Order: sequence, then C-alpha cells, then structure tokens
Amino acid sequence: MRCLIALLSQASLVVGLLAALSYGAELHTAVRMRAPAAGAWWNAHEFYLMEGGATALGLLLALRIGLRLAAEADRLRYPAVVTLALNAALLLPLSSLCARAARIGVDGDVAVVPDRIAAFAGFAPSKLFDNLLTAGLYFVKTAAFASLLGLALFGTVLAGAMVRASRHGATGLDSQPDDDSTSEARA
Amino acid sequence: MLSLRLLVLFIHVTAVIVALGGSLFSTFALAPVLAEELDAAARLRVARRVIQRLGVIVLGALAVLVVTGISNMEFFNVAGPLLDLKLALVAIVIALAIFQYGALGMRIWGLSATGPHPALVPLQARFRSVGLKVGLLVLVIVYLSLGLSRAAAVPLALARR
Repeated sequence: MRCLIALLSQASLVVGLLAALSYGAELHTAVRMRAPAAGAWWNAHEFYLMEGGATALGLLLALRIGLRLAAEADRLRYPAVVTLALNAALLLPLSSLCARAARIGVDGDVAVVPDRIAAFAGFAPSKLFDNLLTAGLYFVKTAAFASLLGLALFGTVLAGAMVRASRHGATGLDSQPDDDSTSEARA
Repeated sequence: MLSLRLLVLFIHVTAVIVALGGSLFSTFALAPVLAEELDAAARLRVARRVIQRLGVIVLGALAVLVVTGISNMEFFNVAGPLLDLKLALVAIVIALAIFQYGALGMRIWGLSATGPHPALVPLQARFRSVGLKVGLLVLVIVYLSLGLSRAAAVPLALARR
C-alpha cells in the first residue's frame, strides 16, 4: 500500500509540475507546431491537469503523513485503503475547491517581482518569469490546501474506523460493559 | 441573520467549541475525578471508552473545521500572512491529534485490553501532554482568528463612514 501511495505521489508530482511548467511557459505552442490537435487538447486541459496534479499530490502527501503519525492504525481495518478510495472519488470536486482557495487574495501586489526582473533583464524574461512564478505558486498553494483537506479526511476515516472496530470487537477495542447491571441485563 | 455565510461561520465556531471544550473537560475535570473516585481497573475501563469517543469527536470536529474554514475564506475573501500562519497551525493541530489518537490512543487501547499494565502510565502521561499541546495551539488559533475577523471587518467599517 505504501509503495502504491509513493508511486501515485511521484506520478502526480510529475504530471502537475509538467502541466504547471507548460502553462507558465506556454509550451503548448511548441506541441501545436508538431501536432495541432494534440496541442489544442493540451492547451485546453493543461491548467486543469496542473490543478488536479497539485490536489492529488497534496492529498497523497497528507495520507503518507497520516499513516506515519497513526502508526497503530494498521490494527484497524483498511483506513489507508478507504482514504485512498475517498481521495480518488473526491479528486475532481476537491481540485476545484483547493484551486479556488489558492486564488483568494491574489492581486496586483504580486507584480512587484517581475518589475524588478524587468529592470535588469528586460521585459520578455520578466514576463516569462512572472508566468512561471505565478504557475508555481498556484501549484504550491493548491497542494498545500489539498494537504490540509487530506489530513482532515484521514482523521475522519480514522475516527470512523475506530467506531467500527469498537462495535465489531476488534483486538484492543472491545466494548466493555458499563457495570454489572448492564451485563446482567444483556444475559 | 439567516444566510449561508453566517451558518458556515456558526458551524465553524461550534466545531472549535466541541473540539477544545471536550479535550479540556477530559483533561481537567474528568481525569482527576476518575483518579480520585475509581480503582485502577475501573478507571482504566472508563478511560479507554472516553479516549475512543473523544477521539471520534475531536477528529470529526477538526475535519468540519477545515471544510468550513476554507468556505469562510471564500465568503470573507480574507488572505495574508496571518491566515497563512493560522492554516499552518491548523495543519500541526490535526497532525498532533492524529498522532494522539491514532498512535498513543491505539497503543493504550491495545495494552489495556486485559487490565492495568506497567507501560500504560508513561503512555497516558504522554497522551495528556500531547492533548495539552493541541489545546494550547487551538487557543492560539482562536486568537489569530480574532485578528482575522477584525481585519475582515475593517473594509466594512470604512465603507460605512
């Protein structure tokens, strides 16, 4: 399970970063010159792939952190599997939510850095750097919000697993009778 | 009075009260009374069930906090270093809560299944210590939230002048 999570994390990082780089540097133009239809598809979807990759990366990182922190959770059944399944099922709505949250507060103040770059490197490099910086920050912020949601989701699944295990009498989580009168009533 | 924004804020604040109040009650009211009134075996039996229920309540409340918190960000359009600090602290709180109940709590459950065990005392002390740290961080987050709510209210106050 941990190998699968690591693999998925790496895949989401690669896809997300490639999409962010392409979106920031407008690399879809190069793809269009070679294969117009593929370039058009990539141009239409690279932004959403960036969002989805960042969200997936955040959710998977949160799951890895959660599994390390809740070391004894292996005694409960399937918290990792259930969380992974929920991450996959909720990826699209969470991508939208995390991307919206990442856009909050972005305004003209972020234009300070490209102005300084333009002062000594020129307009074209500063424009490219500005686009790459914006895409990179957007990627990181989306992943950060997804990590927060992922931790909360893992905590919820853990809580549900604890309730389920105590009801079904898993090892170390058996429900104990409150007192003698309760156990006599049950008999 | 009746708006989605206010409802989400209400749920957010209620979740804080539930998470923080439950932990403080357990640490400062319940645990000392159990220690005074019950023998070791009965105290352990009660403590195990309290830890389990409290874990479910705290972890559930934290999840509600995160979801409603992000919704509040959209409604009030607040951003800045103060909010970034608050979100970082929230992530630390959730991580500590997962460690407290998912590692320490589970280990306590496992060891105490057949009654008192010598390894339980340091584990329970560590459980309480982590719980206090979580409580302190939540109080700091509440304080930061006050600063954020005042920052969000400033444009409204300026507009009214």
